[in-house]
Order: sequence, then structure tokens, then C-alpha cells
Amino acid sequence: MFRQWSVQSGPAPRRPESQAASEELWEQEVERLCASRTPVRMLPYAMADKRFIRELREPEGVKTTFWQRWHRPRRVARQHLREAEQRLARGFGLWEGALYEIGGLFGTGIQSYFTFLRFLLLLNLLTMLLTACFVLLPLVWLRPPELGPALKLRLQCSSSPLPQSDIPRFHNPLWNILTGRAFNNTYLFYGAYRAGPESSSEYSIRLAYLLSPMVCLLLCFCGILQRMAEGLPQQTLLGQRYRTPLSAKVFSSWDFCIRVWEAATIKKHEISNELKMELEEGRRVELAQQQTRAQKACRLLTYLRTNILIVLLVVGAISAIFWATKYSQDNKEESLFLVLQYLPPGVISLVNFLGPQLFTVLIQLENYPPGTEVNLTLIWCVVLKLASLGMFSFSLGQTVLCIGRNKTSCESYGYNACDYQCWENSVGEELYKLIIFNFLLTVAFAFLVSLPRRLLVERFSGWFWTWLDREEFLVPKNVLDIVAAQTVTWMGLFYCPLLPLLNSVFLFLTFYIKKYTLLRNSRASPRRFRASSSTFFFHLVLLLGLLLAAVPLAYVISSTHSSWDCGLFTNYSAPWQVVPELVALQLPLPSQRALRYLSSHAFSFPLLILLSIVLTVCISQSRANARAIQGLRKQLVWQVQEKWHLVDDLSRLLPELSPEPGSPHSRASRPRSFCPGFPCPGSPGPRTPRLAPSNRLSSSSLGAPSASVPASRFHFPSRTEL
Amino acid sequence: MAQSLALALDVPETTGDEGLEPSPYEESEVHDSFHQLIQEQSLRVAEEGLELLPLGLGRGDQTLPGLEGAPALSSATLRILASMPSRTIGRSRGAIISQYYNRTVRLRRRSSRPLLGNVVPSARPSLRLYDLELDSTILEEDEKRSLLVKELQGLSAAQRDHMVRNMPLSLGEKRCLREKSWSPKGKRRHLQGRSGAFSCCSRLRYTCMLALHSLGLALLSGLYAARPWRYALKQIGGQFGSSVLSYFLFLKTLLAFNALMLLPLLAFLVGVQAAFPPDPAGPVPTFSGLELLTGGGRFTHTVMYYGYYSNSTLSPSCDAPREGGQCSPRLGSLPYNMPLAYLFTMGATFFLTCIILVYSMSHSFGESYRVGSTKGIHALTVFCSWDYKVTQKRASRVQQDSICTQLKELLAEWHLRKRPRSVCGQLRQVVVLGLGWLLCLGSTMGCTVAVLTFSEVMIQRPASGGQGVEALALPLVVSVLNLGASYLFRGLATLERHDSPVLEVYMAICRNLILKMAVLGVLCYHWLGRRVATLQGQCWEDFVGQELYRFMVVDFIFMLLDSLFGELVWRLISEKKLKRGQKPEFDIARNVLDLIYGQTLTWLGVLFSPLLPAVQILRLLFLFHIKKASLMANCQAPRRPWLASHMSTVFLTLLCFPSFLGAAVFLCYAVWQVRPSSTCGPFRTLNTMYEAGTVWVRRLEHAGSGASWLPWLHHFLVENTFFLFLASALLLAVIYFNIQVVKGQRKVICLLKEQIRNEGEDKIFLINKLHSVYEEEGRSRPGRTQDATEPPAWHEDGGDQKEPCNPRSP
Repeated sequence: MFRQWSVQSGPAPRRPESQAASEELWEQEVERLCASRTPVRMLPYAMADKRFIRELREPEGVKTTFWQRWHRPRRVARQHLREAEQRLARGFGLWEGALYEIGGLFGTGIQSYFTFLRFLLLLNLLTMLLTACFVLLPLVWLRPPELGPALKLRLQCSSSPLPQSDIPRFHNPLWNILTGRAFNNTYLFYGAYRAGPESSSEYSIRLAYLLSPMVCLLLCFCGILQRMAEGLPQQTLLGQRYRTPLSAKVFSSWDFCIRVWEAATIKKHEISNELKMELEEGRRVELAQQQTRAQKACRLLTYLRTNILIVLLVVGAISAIFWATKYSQDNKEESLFLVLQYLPPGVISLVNFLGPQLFTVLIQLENYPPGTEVNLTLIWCVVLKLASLGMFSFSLGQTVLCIGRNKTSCESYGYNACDYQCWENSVGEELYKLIIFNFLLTVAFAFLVSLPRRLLVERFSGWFWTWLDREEFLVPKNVLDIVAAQTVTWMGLFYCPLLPLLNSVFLFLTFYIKKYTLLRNSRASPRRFRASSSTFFFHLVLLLGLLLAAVPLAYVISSTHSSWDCGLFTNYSAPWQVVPELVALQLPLPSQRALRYLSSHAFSFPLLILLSIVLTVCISQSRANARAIQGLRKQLVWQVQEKWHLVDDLSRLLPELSPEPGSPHSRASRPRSFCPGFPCPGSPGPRTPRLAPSNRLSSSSLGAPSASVPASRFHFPSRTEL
Repeated sequence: MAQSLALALDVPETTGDEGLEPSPYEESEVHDSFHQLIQEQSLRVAEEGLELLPLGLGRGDQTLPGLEGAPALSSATLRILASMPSRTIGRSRGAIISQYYNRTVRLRRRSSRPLLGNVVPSARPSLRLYDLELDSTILEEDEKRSLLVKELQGLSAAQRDHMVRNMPLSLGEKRCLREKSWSPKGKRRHLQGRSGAFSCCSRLRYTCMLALHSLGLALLSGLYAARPWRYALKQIGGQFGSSVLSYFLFLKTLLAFNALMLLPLLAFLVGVQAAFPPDPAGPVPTFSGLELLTGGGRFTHTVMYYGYYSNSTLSPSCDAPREGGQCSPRLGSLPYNMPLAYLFTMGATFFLTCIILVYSMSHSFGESYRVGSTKGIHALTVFCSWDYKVTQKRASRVQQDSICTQLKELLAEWHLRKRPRSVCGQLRQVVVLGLGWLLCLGSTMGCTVAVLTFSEVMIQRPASGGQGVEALALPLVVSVLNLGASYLFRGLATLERHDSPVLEVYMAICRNLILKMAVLGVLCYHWLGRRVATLQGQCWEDFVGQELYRFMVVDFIFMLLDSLFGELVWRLISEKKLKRGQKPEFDIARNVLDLIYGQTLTWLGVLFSPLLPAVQILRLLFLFHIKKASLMANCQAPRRPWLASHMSTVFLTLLCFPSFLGAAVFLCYAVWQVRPSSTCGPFRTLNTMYEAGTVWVRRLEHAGSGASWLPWLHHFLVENTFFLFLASALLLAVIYFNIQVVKGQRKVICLLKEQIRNEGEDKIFLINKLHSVYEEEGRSRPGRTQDATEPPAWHEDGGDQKEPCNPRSP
């Protein structure tokens, strides 16, 4: 019966005695397998064995109960459903092959960038789908009564007359497309949406227009959270003080997706770098412990100095963006300068190009530990990127909505009505320009910098060209770029609802451009970049971008006056006013009261209390779990020590029983290599020669079933480390 | 060896062995063969060589008989097993010393001082000596000890003391270590000193330090002794175990909560208002004893109730602040805005209580929460269920009984699980359970309906000022219903005959809780929904406060009656008439629920009657003494197994979740939604109580003083619910992450457990192997002893082969 077990490999047992012993062992194993509830799929056996196990578990003859018969199709269906869901999350196999190829050529670190890109594409498509379903389709379907031309307001602008009349305009279709003016009257921008007054029974396009960006943001928030939770770093699971054991770094850092020789070389370098870094860090910790207090204070001061310098740089960059935006808004109609229109995006890109380089240099000046160096540079880059975007939106708000300056020009209409006919459109145009510019920059960089550089490097030889080499593919920089684009998209959800479509097209193209650049024009960075830990960071940055986009949106929706003569919300003091009106119109009284209670403090404060209680419970639970893990690990160490104690005794005994005297068993040579913190993987090296004679002995004289069992028969579970 | 097999099979003896870690002397009384093994371990190896030979032979003879089926392990195997690291950790000094040496090294390396120069170079290679094996010579132990001493010297004094204090060694050993590790410094100082002896200065310093230290110790013990009811709690714990004790500890916690709540109220509301009493509005009725029960009458015109507080700005410049507080505050005088103070003090006390409650809950969660279900693991029940608080012989016997029943129940449950009940039986069980729940829910429903109709009747009846006893009718009805329903539930539970006692207890708690919360919910509706409407011209806040006072008083009386009749009389009956000698059990669940109910009443009423916590404190004080007396005289410890640590968590959770949260929702509703009465109280001119804050902020805004950020902050963060919802969303995200972390940790724990199990299997396998090797050797020995060329010492005893350079004659 057990013959067919492929697991029972190795030297065929010759003696009936040993055969009996092994049979007994396998009987136990089978019993265990039958009793355990682990699904057959998870067992580490061959296919035939699995089939056998399944038969053992559910023999044919035993009639299945009605419940089981009813239950099984459901389970299968659920499984199919889950698989479909996973496929959906992976984008219906979009770019599957390309991703495999990239992973094989460059490792998972760079692959994670492309996966991230795909995730963003999915998010954008989802947003687009929602907008199309709830806003565009009903708009086309219902076909609101044509309102005719928007009522022209007589604006009392004393200081500056409307400028369009006098200055000759530069009418170039390309220019119009680039600035977005060509689409001013299309559904791309806010101003083109119109609807009749609200009634009690109709589908309200206003409400849909208002709520769909918020719902999209919420969905994106949930999606990001979910992806973040998948990539939670190990440290949070195992407690703060946990450090990955060196053995894990040595044995389990190989990337098995790699298929090419060059990638393998790179990976080797990476691993050696990592080990070097580990050792360096250890040395550094020892050095730091030897320092006196004064030295420590000195070191901290120097760190502070660098960071203050960087803060100053960031502030300078941000103010540059502020002035650029202001200048470009003030000279909006100087049509001769296309440059002026693209000044803010240009400044932002310049700042974001120069900033990281400067930071890298500055941070390298100080004597940081290597891990901290990388992280600090990254963090400052993120700060710069998000702060520049935030500053951009703030300065827009200042010019348009008079936030934080004298409100004379905004007093009569709630916004700067003299300069902006339809301010939502202007803001939308700015964001549109930002996205276009970002994409153009990507294209230009790929084909005007990387490609010539590769060609030149290939053509010429010499120390300069060797030094220059191909371009490095830096994952963090690229990720930050697409995160910035995504943030801009989210910011513009309210002003140009079709921006996600544009962004998804750009993302789609970016994938191919980047892939081309990566495969043809650049080399992988030798610096280590681990996929597992970086995913969390990327998504965190994305989340920050989302929050950054959500705050201005919330402000605009809740408390600014929308334009008087364009868009859906002309008659409302703030877009949010639609909601109370519709609630009063369409909902019955009890649900109105319920909604009012839900939105009041009387509900939100208890909710906060409840949530904080739940949070404390969770935190205390996870702490208790961490403590349990510590205890269990200690116990495991004990178990392993005991095991080796037994193995030692056994191996010392066996040679002594053999006829040859003087077997090597001096106590000094006994390996004392139990790592104090963690069980050793497998059997240590010096043990094998001592086990070898016992092996021979067992098969020749004693006849005990394979005395070297601990090493050969039993796969020691301690080999699988955490 | 038969005795050591007893170690594996005979459970009771091992219980004592594992749990108490007796000294070798005590253990020798239990079974002497293991004692021999221990002695061998602690004896020097040189002696061992001389002594072991006869012992080993003698034991080898004992081994062969007396084994039933189990693998008979030879003495040599047993010796190896006995010397395994985990068995020897508590017994071998060498192991301990080396372990602590290792720990000290780590600690010293972590400490920041550059100490590398301090250590003698010979200490360096010894870092590799970390080894817990036991076959150590004196030399080795001494060496280890000296190494340890050296490492200890490297530490700072405080760390060293801590380290030495924590070592599981005998006192003499510790003292020796301490002296040794102190001495070099003394010597150094000795060298540095001008004269040969200690200098006068340093001696003085030592004396001062010692005196300070002992003073500190005395103060600490004094503080410890000054904690209230220390002796009483010890007595209860000793006599009834920690489960009953946890009830009294919970009572003490509630007392602390109330005291904490009362203090700010006294300081900021009651004291201030008492210092500036308002004009008496009308004739004050005289005091007649009935007020103590009804809470009305004379009490209405005191600081006890909401209505007494004025709605003006109190300031020392005005002798009698009138309506509107017209007198202008002088420079330097502090205007005291009573409505604002009322609102903020209430909010602050609730917030404080919430924080402390949540903190203590999470703390107790961390204490009590253990991974995986410990329920139903027999080893845990056998080894870890002794309650070490118990000091008296009688109590320990009771506990033995309870552990016995627990084991029986466990086994019964196990059998049940192995052999599932028939379909019919299951069906019957389900039907009984469903009927029980239906009955419970029905009776709960009936109770609530009864309370509702009765309260309607009370409203319909022309209110005669609430003076008389008829005001007590509603509380009486509610208390009677509560009591009756809880007895009904108890009866139902005995009828249902649950399989597991834990389930029964939780079900009882659940049912009682549902009942009480439903009744309280109906009452809240009655007060805020109906009474506010009917008591238009009057002060409804006063009425609600009085009502809650009455509820508390009546509930207290019922608890007294319950402990009188349910415990005392029942004991007398069962002793005198039934002659059973069995006392009634102390029902922890019901008593705790009563406490929680009372605390909920206090929280509900504190807005309307700021002195209600004081009443609750008095109630709790009385209750403690009465319950203690009743417990001592009438009750016995419960037979149900109760894990004290789990229980305190459950109590705190119940206190927090339905009780505190419900009270908070009620008060939030009252503050934000209900219009306060216009004739009395600090908020008489406002639409809602919360408006006091808004009005103040608006005034600040108008004043335009330096605190202009406060209105701004208020406007954006508090008034705008958007930010609150944003904060909730962020909290939700963090909760989600934590849940994921917990899930991941569970997975890690499962993996670790599996790994440990695998290691255990490895160990079993190795032990079997060892055994078989010895058996083999024993079988082959006769053949070999005839072989003259072989030195026989090799084959006498496998365990002695550790010292190959020690040949012995047979």
C-alpha cells in the first residue's frame, strides 16, 4: 500500500526490521495526514500522492452526507469567484508576459514599479467607469433641456475691463490643445455641464457630478489600503526590535524569477552589497556605542544642519513655484509666450529634477548609515514633490479664490470674478497642462536624453563614456513621477471629470515607453531595491497624495462659491448645497431625520469614541501577540538546543560502540554554534564527519535503522526559518 | 527505571513537581530515583565517576520489571534526558551562571560606556563559551563564575544589582557573587584613598545612602500598607480564591472611577456654586426623612441637582450675581462663566473617564489575552489551574474539588466531541436552547413593555409634586422586574443543562445584560422623549436627576435584600432544614452585572445631578462591607472554574462597551439635541446645552483678543463634521492595518507552533533511537564481555563514556 509513495525514496531498506520501523513511521505520517484538516493542495507531495491522500481521507465507499453534497459545488463556485476577483485585481492579465519578462531580466524590484503602474491604470479606469456610468451616460440619455447660452452677467469690474476685446490672440490649434482651451466647451471641463433645476422625481445629475469624485476618492483610498496591507513590512508583525537574521539574508535573498545571466550577476552584486551594508551597519552601531555624549550631540547637530539646509532648499523651491504660478496667472493673456503658459509646470519639473540630485549630494556629505541615507533622500524627495503640488494648488487658490490675502476683488462674487469668467475651467486647464507637460517630459526624456546617451556610449569608447555609461533605471524617481501625475488627476476630478481617461491613456503609453527605455537604453541600478519593503512605501506616498488631493476638494465643495455663469452649480452658494436641497426634496421625513442625526456631532463623537476603543483593543491584541511570538521563539530555541544535545549524545555513543577505538570525540571540538538568538539552520558543518562513521556502522555491524536519521530521514523543520 | 516512568504517567505527582519547582530535598520525598539523578548533576564529576557504578547497576535491575507496554528507557538514556538543557535550568548552577554570564555580556555591550578596556583580555574568547550543557567540572563552573563576576563588574551598579537580584540562585550564591563583583572597586578606592581604611567621607556617604535606601523601602511598604482594604482583600482571596476576589477588585476599580469623576466636579462646579449661592427662588421645604429615599423635597434646592446652578457669570466682585450678571468684571477679577464651566467640566470628566477606562481595558486585554484558545487543553488544566492566592486548608480543599470537577467536565466534553450526539439529541438540545432564548427574549420584551406602560401611567397621573412614596413606584417596579427576571434566567439555565459551564456563564451574562440594557433604553426614552414634553413649565433636568437617585437607592435596597434573603436565609434553611451543609455559591456574574448597572445609572445621571458620584461612592462603600460580611458568613466559593484574569477583562469590557458607551450616547443626545428647560439651570436661556460653548466662542471672536486661533480652530475642527468624519476614516484605516497585523501574527504563531511540534517529534524520535541503541548494547553485552581484549569499562554504562580518559576496573 505504501509502495507507491514517492516520498519513500532513498536507499531501499534491506532488513525486515528496518522496514518495519519505516512502515511504522509512514503509518504514523499517514494517520497524521488523514487527521489533519489542511487542504490537500497545500501538502508538499507529488500529484499521485495527493490523489492517494484524498482517497484516504474520503474513501469512495463512504457515502457523503447530504450537507457535503450540497456544500461542495458552492465551495467550488466560491473558489472560482475568488480566482476571478484576483484576476480582476491583476488587471485581467494585462501585460502579464511583459511583467514576467521584466521580472526575469531585472528582478522583482524593478518589476514592482511596473506592477504599481498597472495598479494606477486600473484605478484610473475604475474612476472613469464610475464617472461615465453616473454622469456622462445619464447626461446623454436624459438630454437636459437646452438652456441656451449662459446668461451673461454684467460684471462690475471697475479696475480692469475684460481684456479679450483688445489684445489680438494667437490662434494656433496646437497651442489651444496644449493649453486646453480647445476643449473649453466639451465635457472635459466643468463648464460644459449643464442641467435644469432640481425636481423631486428626476435623476439628479448635479448630485451625481458632486458625489462621483468623492466616491472615486473613497474607492481609491480603500484600494490603496488593501494593497498596503498586503505589503505590510515584516517589522510590524514581529515587533520593533526584530532584525532579520543574517542567515535569512544569506539563504533566502535570491530572486528566483531571474532568468538571464546578467540579471543574476546584478543580483549577486546586490546581495553582496546588502551583506556589506549589514556588516557596515553593525560596525557603525558598535562605534556609536563607544561615543561619548558630547560626540553624540555633535553628530546630531551635524545631522540637524543638513536637514535645516534641505528644509531651506525646499522652502525656496516652493516659493519659486508660488511666484511662477502667480506670474503666469497674472500674465495670462500675453499670448505670445507659450513658455509663460507652461511656466508653473516647468518650474515644478525643474525643481523636482534638481531637488533629488542636490539632496543626494548633501546627504552624502554627512556620515549617515547607508540605510538611513537612502531613506532620508527618498523622504525628502517625497516631501518636495508633494509640497510643490500643494503649493501649486494653494497659489491657484490664492489668485482665484483670494485665500489668505485681501478679499477686495472677491467680495462681490465669492471668487475673483473679474479675471476669471469660469474659474473652475481655469483651474482645470492648469491641471490639464500639468498632466500634459508631465507626459511630454517623460517622452522627451526617453527619446531625447536616454536614447542618444545610449547611442553615444555604444559608439565611443574612452574613460568619459565608460564613466557616463547607460542611464540607471531608478525606481523611486519613476514611482514618484507617476504618483505626482496621479495626485494631479485626483485634484482635477471635480474640475475636469475626464482627466482620469487622459491619465490612463498616458499611463498606458508610459508603460511601453518605460519598458523600451528599460530594455534598450538603461541598466539596472546596482543599489539594492527590495520589492517587498518598497511596495508599502510607494503606496504610502500614494495615500499621502490622495489626502493632499482630497483636502482642497473638500474645501472647494463645502465652502466656495462656484461660478455664476457656467457649470452645474450656478445657483448655489457652494456645491454641497445641492445635497441638503435634494434631501429635503426627495427623501421621506424619517430618513431625513436619520441623515441629520448621522451628520451631527451627537453621532460623530460617539463614533469616534467607539473607533478609538476598537483601535485600542486591536493594538493591545497585537502587542499580546508579539509577546506570544517572543515566548514561542524562545521555546523553539530551547527545543532545538535539546535536540542537538540528544543528537550529540547519540553521535558520541555510536562510534564508541564500534570496534575501532579512539573515535574523535574530544569535547573541545564539539561545535558550540548555537546562535543565541535563533535556531541554527540544519545541522552544522562539523557534525557531518562524525555522523559518517556512525552511518557506516549502522549499516554494517549494528543494523539499527539508519543511525544518521536526524540528518537524512528527518527533514529538520528548523530549516524553515521565519 | 520504574520511578521515572511514574514521572511521565502519574499526573498528580508531576503537578506538584512542575508547578512548584521544589528543592531537591523535597523532591527526594516524592521519588528518590530522580533525586539521585539531580544529585548526580549537582555533584562533581569526579565523585560521579566513583559513585555511579553501583547505582547504575542497581537501577538497571530495577528497570526491567514493572513496565506496562511503555518503552522502558534504560538508566543511561534517562540520565541523558535528565541532563537536557530544559530539565536542568532550575537546578544547575553552572547552567544558570553561564546563561547569566551571556546575558550580562549582551547587556554590557549594549550599555554606552566604552568598557572594552576594562575587561581582562582572557575574558574575550570566553564569549564562545555559551553553552548550557551540564556535564561541567568544578573547574568549568568556577571559571564561568569568575567570568560572570568580571562581566558584572563591567556593569553599572544599578544594572548589576538588578541582574544579581533576578538570578534564580540561592541567597548565599548571590551574596557571594555580589561581594566578588563589588570588591575590585572597593580595592580601587582603597588604593586611591589617602589612608588604609575607608575614608571618613566615603563611609559617611555609604551610611547616608543606606539610610536613604531603607527610608525609601519603609515608605514604600507604608504606602503599600495604606492601600484601602488590603487586609480584607487578602482575606477574601485566601478564603475564596481569585475569582471571588476579582469581584471585589472590580468594586474597588469602580470606586476609583467615581472618586476621579467626583473630584473635578467638586472643585469646579459644586464648590464654586456653594461659595456663591444664588437667591432662593421660593420657600425652601423643610427636611423630612423621606428625602433620603426620594431625593426630592429639600434636596432640590441644593447643589445636588442641575436646577440649582446659576446661568450667570460668577465673579468675586459681585456679591450676589443676578440674572444676566450685570456688574462689570473689574481688572484682575476672574469672571467665572457657570454654563461654560458646567459644560466643560462634564466633558472633561467624561473624557478622562473614557481614556482611563480604555487604557485599563487595553492593559487588561494585554494581560489576559493569550494566543489560541487555551480552553480544553488538558495539560493546562492539570498544571496551571492552581490558585496560589489560596492560603487556608479548607479553601485549598475546595479548590481541589473544583479542579477535579473541571477535569471531569473537560473529559466529558472531550468524550462528547469524540462521539457526537445523535441527531435526535442534537435536535432536542437545539429546541431546548431555542425555547430558552425565546422565553428570555419574550420575558425581556414583556419587562420593557411593562416598564413602558407603567411609565405612561405615571405620566398620565396628575403629578402631585413627586413628594410622596408614589414617586418610588417606577424604580420599585423596575427593580422587581430585574430581580425576578434574573431568577427566571437562572432557572432556565438549569433547565437547559448546558454542556460547557463557560458557555452557561456567558449566556447568563448575555441575557441579563440584554434585559438591563433594554430596560434602561426604555427609561432613557421615557425621560428624554416623554418627560421633557410633559414637564414643560418645570425643571425636567431636576426630575431626571431625582429619578436616577431614586433608582440607585432602590437598587441598593434590593441588593441588600437579595444578599439577606438569597444568601443568609438560604444558608439557614439549607443548614437547618435540609442538613446538607452546603452553603449557597457566590454568584459572581450577577453581582458584577448589578455593579455595572449601578455605574450606568451614575453615568446617566451625572449631568443632571453632579453629586451622584458621591452617592455612588457611599453605596459602593456600604456594599463592600455588606457583601464581604455576607460572603464570609454565608457563602462558599463557586464551583465553576473562573479564570480571574479573563474575568477582569470581561468585566471592564462590559463596563466600557454597553454601559459607558450607552451613557455617552445618551448624554451626547441630551447635550446636542434636547432643549434645556427655561426656568432653571445654567442653560436656561439657550436652545441646547452645547450652545454655551458656541456662544462663548462667538464672543471670543468678537472680542478679537490674542486667542483668535481658538474660534478658527473651533470653526474648522469641531463645528465642521467633515473633519470628524475624516478622523474616523483615518482611524478606520489604522484599525484595518492593525487587524491585518494581528492576522499576520496569528499566521506566524501558527508556524512557530508547528515548528515547535516538529522539533518535539524530532526529540521523541531521537529518544527512541537512544533507547534502542542502549538496548542493542545490552543485548550484545554478554557476547562481548567474553572478549578479553576489550576493556570492559566501555560497556558498563553508556552515560559514563563521556569521560574516555577515565578507565575503571570492572
